[in-house]
Amino acid sequence: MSQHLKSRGRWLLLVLITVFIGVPWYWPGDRALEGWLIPAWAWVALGAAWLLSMLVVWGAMRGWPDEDADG
Amino acid sequence: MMQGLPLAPWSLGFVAVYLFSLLAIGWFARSRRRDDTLGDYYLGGRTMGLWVLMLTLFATQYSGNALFGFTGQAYRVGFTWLSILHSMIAVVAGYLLFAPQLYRLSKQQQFVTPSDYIDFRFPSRALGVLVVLCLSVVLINYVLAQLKVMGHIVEGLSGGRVDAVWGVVALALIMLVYSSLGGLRSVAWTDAIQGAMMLAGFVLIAVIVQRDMGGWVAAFTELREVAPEKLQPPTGRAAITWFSTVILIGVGASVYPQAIQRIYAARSAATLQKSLAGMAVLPLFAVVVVLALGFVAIARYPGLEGSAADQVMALIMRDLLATGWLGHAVVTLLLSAILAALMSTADSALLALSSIFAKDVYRKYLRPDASDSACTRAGQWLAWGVLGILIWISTLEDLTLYRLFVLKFEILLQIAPAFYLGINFTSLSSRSILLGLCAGLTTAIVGWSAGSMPLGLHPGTLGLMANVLVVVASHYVLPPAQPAAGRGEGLP
Repeated sequence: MSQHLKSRGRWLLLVLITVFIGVPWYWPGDRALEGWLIPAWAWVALGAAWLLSMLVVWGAMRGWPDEDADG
Repeated sequence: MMQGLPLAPWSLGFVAVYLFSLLAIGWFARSRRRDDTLGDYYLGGRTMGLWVLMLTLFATQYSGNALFGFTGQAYRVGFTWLSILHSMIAVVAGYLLFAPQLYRLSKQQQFVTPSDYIDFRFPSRALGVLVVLCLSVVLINYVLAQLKVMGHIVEGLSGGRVDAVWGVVALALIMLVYSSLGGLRSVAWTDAIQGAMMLAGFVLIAVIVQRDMGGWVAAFTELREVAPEKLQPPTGRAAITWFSTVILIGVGASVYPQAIQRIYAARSAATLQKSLAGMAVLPLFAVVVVLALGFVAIARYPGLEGSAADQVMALIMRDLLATGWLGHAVVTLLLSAILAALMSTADSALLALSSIFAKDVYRKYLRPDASDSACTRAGQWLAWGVLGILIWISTLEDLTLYRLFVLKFEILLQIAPAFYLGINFTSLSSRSILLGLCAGLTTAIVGWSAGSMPLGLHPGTLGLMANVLVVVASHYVLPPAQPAAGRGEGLP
């Protein structure tokens, strides 16, 4: 259990960082609308979502407890 | 919400045949039932495979809200609604924090309802009753939201010839018959079919917008000229609201009662793992297409205010119909999938409500000696009764879809610490979780009633903060509680 928590703790940290990257609090207002097709900040948010998704896939595929272990 | 669509007779015929084929699925699911146990009826015998599990989880998270509510909100608030994309991925991240352990416990202890876990981990009668009440309110709200959309769609499909109420009654009857026949098997199989149809519809709709409706580049270029204010990044309060939305939906949706039951229903841990991995990728496509449609609609259909913005998807469908046979086919496919999605989301919630009544109320308080089949029958009767009342209420309420969507999260979010913290922090007591739940619910409900969002935070998120704060404070400040003997307190 504790080992499982530790391994999940690592990716949780990465997930949270990525979520914060997606939050464009810091984006300079005068450059926010630059960018091809959609604003630059929206591209950053989309990229962060992609990264978040990949991290979650990675997290889903590892660190699961033994199904038959004692509770 | 949905004005009459000029559908060809063959389109209406396809939708009708599809809806009635759901009854055949229900009948087939009934033939696959192994016994009369609650686990077989409410969890499909705990044998759900990879694709069905992934698509039923997908269908549980994306329903009428996804197509009508999400596009409507994208239209109303613009690009700051990109937060919903992060939120839907965060739902899966949330699952990963408790689903592995919860799945293992559910196999060992044969859980059927979310409350079974609560009773096992936190053996407190007061907490159990409060959780059942909260889950019931949330599930009723969930069904109500689906019924409202169903009525509007039938009214639109028939060009106003069929009243919304009768449309809801007809669809609810189909839904009740197939879900009563096969339980979760019927619901999950119909979910899987509609989930696949919806994904196919998203692919085709993206192609048609590009090919026959002027293209995405032109649409976004027009948007930048017509409504640049809708492209602004969130700043100040709006940035905090972005964060609050990710928490509200990411954490709240991961503890949907019907989703928890799908975790229990997985055939194996490996099946659940792969399904969740797939679920993490689907929003990148499904949500992005839905959002893009809402954004380009800002320039295409200007002037829609408030709940009128929920019509955006219907307006897009009208334009798709004008593009030719492919557009017609896509709208037919999408409408069938949307109706099925609404029905399956509603019956998933209804099935969860029925199971909670059967196991956590009927057997626990009314007839402790009742057999599994008697409990199942009691749950089915409750489902029919509740649905009848909700059909009536659905004709009275006048809330926008998004408001209905948020309301359930305000409450659901307060249950989350029992799962997230209860699974991962083994020394937490029932008392801490109960105190936290009371504090969270009070904060969320008072905030929601006042209609305010201090600092841009949703009342539910504020409630969750108060909830966790009280849990932690009571755990460290109050003297240790007397442990209850023989159950799961202190597990795993």
